Amino acid sequence: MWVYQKMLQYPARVRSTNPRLAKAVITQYGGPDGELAASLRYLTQRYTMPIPEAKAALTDIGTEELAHMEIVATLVYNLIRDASIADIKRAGLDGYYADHDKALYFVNAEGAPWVASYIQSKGDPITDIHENMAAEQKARSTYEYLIQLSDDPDVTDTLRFLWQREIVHFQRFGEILNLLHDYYGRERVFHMKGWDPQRIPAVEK
Amino acid sequence: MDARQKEMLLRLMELQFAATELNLYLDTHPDDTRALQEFRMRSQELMSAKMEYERIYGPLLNFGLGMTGRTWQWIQDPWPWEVNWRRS
Amino acid sequence: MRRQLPGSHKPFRLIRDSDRELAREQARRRLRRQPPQAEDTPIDDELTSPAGRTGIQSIASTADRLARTASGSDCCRIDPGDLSAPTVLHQSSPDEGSMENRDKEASSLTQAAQSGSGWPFEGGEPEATHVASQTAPDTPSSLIFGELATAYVPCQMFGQTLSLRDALRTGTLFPELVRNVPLYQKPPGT
Repeated sequence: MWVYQKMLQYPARVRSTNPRLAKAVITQYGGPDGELAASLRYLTQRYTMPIPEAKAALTDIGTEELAHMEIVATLVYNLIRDASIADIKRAGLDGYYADHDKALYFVNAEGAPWVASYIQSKGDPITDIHENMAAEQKARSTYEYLIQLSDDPDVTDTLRFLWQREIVHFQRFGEILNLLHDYYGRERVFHMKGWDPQRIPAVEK
Repeated sequence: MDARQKEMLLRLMELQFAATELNLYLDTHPDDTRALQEFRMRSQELMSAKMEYERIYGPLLNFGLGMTGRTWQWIQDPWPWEVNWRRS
Repeated sequence: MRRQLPGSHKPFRLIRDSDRELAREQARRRLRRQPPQAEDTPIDDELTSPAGRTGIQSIASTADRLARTASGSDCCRIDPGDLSAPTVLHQSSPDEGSMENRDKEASSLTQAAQSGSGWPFEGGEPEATHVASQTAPDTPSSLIFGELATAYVPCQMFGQTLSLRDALRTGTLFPELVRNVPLYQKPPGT
C-alpha cells in the first residue's frame, strides 16, 4: 500500500504567475514522457519482474516518480493560480480553461489527455527495462527543452533537479538490466538438458 | 508557515533525499556494506528529525504512521503545494 | 565549448581479476572436455547436433558470466585497478570447434539443403554462420566489452557522497552522477 507524506521531495518555487510556462510544464504532469506515465509504467511492470532487485527498484523509482508528479503539479498550480482571464487568453490556455478552469488535469503541452498507450508493459523483463531506460532519456530531453523555454529561474531550478533525477534513474535501470542478463544467463544453464549446473566452477576466495 | 517550520522541513527533505538515493543504490547493490551503513545512519537521523517535527507541527504521514497529538493536526494548512519556499 | 561529463573519461570494459580469469579458464576447459566426447554419460541428442554445439558455446559464455559475477551479487564488479590494462583473455584454441564438430555442422547443412528447405529462397544455400549464431560465442569484442547486441551500463561503485545540502540541490547524492550541462547539445543557433 502507499501512504502520503505531507511534504514535497524538493522545495519547488515559483517566482511569478506565468500561465505560458505552465502550459509547457504541464506536459511533465500528463504528457507522454511525464511523471504520471513514468510512475504508472514502473509500478505496473514490477509484478512480472523475476528478480528481487528489479521488483524493489521498480517499486521505489515508481514511488519517487509519484513525488515528482506532485512537484510538477505544484509548479503548474502556482504558475496559473493567480492568472487573470486576460493572462490565460494571452498564454493560449483558454482551451484548457474552458475544460478545467485552473484545476490540474493530465494533459500534454497541447492539451491532449493522458492515455495508457504512452506506456508499455511487455512481460519480457529485458524489454521492459529497456523501455524504462528510454523513458528516462525521453523525460530528460523534455526537461532540457523545458529549461530552454523557462523564463522563471525558480522554476528552472526545480526542473534541473528533476532532470538530474532522470539520469540517476537511468543508471539504476542500467544496473537492473545487467542483473537481468546475469539472471537469464543462469536460467539458461539450469534449463539446458543434460547439463549439470553443479559443474560450473564458482570462484573461491 | 513560519521560518522555523520551513527550516525543519528542509532538513527533513535533505535527510530523506539522501536516504532515497541510498535506497535506490542498495536496490541494485544489496551487498554493499558501506552504502548500507550510510543508509542506516541517514535513516536514523531522518526518524529522529521526523519525530521532532511531528511533535510540534503534527503528523507528516497519514494512516497512523505519523505522531498524532491531542488535536487532529493532519488537516492543518498549508499542504505541500501551498507552501511558499521563496525567501521573502 | 566542449562539454565535460564527469566520470565519463574512463572507457568501459568488463575487467576480471586473476581469480575470475582463472575460473573462466577452468570453466572453458571443463566445457571443452565435456559432452560431445564424453562416453561415460549418455549423450543427449541436443548436445551432438549443431544446435547443441551452439548450446555449448552459450553455456561457455554463461559460465563466463557466472564466473564474472560469482564473487558477489552486486550488479557487477569492476576493478578500477585493472582499468588501464585490458588483457586478451582468450585465444581460440585448436581443440575448440574440433573437426568432428565442423563435420557435423557441415553434414547437417547438406541435409537441410537436400531436404529442399531452401531458405530464404528456393534453392538458396544457407550460410554456415546462420546456424552457428543462435547465441553469441566468445569473440575478441565480446571478451572485452561483453556480449554483443546487448546494452550495458557501467555499474556504479560506492565512493564519495555529497553533503546533504548539496545532494538535494543537485539532485543526486553521488558526485559521479552529477551532470552540469544538457546531455543533448544542439548546434549553435538552433
